Amino acid sequence: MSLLTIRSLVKSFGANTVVKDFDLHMQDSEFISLLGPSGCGKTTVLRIVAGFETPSTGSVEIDGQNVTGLRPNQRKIGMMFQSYALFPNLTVAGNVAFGLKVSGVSASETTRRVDEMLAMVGLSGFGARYPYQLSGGQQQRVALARAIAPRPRVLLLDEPLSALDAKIRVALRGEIRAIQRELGITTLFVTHDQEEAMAMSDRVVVMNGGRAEQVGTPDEIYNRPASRFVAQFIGALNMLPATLRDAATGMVETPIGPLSLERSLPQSNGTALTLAFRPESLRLIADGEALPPQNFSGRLMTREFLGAIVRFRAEVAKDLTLGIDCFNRTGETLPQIGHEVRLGIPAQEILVLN
Amino acid sequence: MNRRFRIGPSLVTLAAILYFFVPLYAAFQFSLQMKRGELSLAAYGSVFQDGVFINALTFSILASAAAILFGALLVVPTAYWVRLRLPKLRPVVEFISLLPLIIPSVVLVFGQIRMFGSSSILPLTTSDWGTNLLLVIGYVVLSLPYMFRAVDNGMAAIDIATLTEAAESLGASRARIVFTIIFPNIRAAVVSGAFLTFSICLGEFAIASLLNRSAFGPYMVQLGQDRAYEPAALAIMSFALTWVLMGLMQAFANMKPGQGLFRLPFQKKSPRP
Ligand SMILES: Nc1ncnc2c1ncn2[C@@H]1O[C@H](COP(=O)(O)OP(=O)(O)O)[C@@H](O)[C@H]1O
Ligand SMILES: [Mg+2]
Repeated sequence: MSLLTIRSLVKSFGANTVVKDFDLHMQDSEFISLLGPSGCGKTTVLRIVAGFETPSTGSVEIDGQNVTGLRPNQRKIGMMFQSYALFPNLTVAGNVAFGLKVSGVSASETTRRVDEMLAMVGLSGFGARYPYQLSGGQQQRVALARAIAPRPRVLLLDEPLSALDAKIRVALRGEIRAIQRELGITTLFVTHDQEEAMAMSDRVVVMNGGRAEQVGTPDEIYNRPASRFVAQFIGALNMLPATLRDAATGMVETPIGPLSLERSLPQSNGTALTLAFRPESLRLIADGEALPPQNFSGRLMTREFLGAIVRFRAEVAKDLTLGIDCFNRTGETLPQIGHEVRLGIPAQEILVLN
Repeated sequence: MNRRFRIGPSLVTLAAILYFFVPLYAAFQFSLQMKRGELSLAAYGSVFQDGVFINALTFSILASAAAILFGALLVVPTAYWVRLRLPKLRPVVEFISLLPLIIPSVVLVFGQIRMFGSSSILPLTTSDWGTNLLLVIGYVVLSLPYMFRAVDNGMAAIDIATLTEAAESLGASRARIVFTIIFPNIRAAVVSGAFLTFSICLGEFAIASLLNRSAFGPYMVQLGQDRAYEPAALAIMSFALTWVLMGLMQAFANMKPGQGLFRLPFQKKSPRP
């Protein structure tokens, strides 16, 4: 049995349907991200789970209990917001104690739990401060401690890191994930940042226009995107128009010449296809190196130094450029702009999109 | 910045200061002249020795405290709910709250007397406590424009929607949210609304007089007709009181959570990390 079950969820605001036929089954202790462009309905799904919005149709079950008709304060959930939403009139300890007091936990137990939670988020000794005396990252840590103190059944996070600096964002996402693992809290995380979703999640739900386009592990989402939208939304992608010549052997005709995909395709011969592959799938072949079966030439147009990787764009045919990511290894000299290079790609790394 | 002396603005400022302070100074000077040929505080002493003064002042303070309490209990939940759930209704509520500025209080009190007079279904005016209640309700209505404005501005300064959701997700009921989260966070606004209410109620004449309450407003008017020096002393004291209230309002408005109103010099500020 799954801990959080969302069934056939539909949500319309007037004539505008923003969540369409959304299903999700979350296992106990699972960390799932809702990932998608702004306005695709992520927050709306989360708010329906929290009880702040009522679904037009569909249901939400937590731990086998149908909570669709329950008010938010009856659902035993924890929530974190982008804007921290700490109570400005309460101290850090007062904020963390709030949910415990509401549920009638004894004073001594409250004190003990507040200390434990503050230690967990690395803010021991900050109990007497007020929210305005803390940095953004510290405030969000308090918000995390406050959300998990009453031991919620589900933790809901709506872009909790978006308001923070890049460095703190990365550090805090690691901490949130570590605490989530330690406590085993089932967590639904909303983000528009694919790196965040990939780095943190057990599974990712890629959303588009109110629908779940694909649900899968970060690996599956990245390497086996189920739709053109997912392929384009996650990571950088090169696209190559192609015409299918021989479906049985996977021979296609492209602007860079014939390529073999080394597998049979379900489409019929003559179908127009789009081939897609990641920039890191393309390899620069050094002079004298053996040529792989799928190779073609191009001219380097731009070169972007990104630290660990160097990203090139190469013109491989008239009006057709491809991105190439190379590791930046010391001692290895990478070619300069303007050079003619030979490029290779493993056939199994080429995706076929309709 | 150019800090050069500018003749035009300086003259205007000087004129404004004179316009304000000359009558005040004249009243003050006059209030000290009760004893012929010398300056004394005799007029002030005379005011304080008058038992009617103390009674009227006490009555008005209690009535305005009650008005502040009722007003806050009426306005805070209303403003909260309108902001949270009925934002489209806000202009309507705002308009209603401004009505007391347009409708004279005489009209209000006549309405009250007709509605709750001795021959009505609910004859509040026949009993002392009922009439006092009418007075307090009248005060609440009079202070509504100020109270609502202050509270509504206070709510605009905090993200009440998100704070409410955060509290709800932690299991809190609506009443608990209003009293433990919303009220404390708009305390400064409620306090400034309260001081405005207080100063309106203290000077109010029409309602108190027509309901025949021995409040401070009617007392001042009576005194003004009967005496010469004491009204000037009263006017000066009212000014002083108003200024003290304004100062307190400022102090409350600038107060951070967890700070007392008066910070002693040896108390350390908690350090920013
Ligand atoms: N209360 C609301 N009333 C009307 N439209 C809304 C409301 N909340 C969200 N929407 C609309 O629903 C769509 C999805 O919003 P949201 O779930 O916030 O997207 P996301 O979090 O993915 O950016 C948006 O087009 C938004 O304008
Ligand atoms: Mg959102």
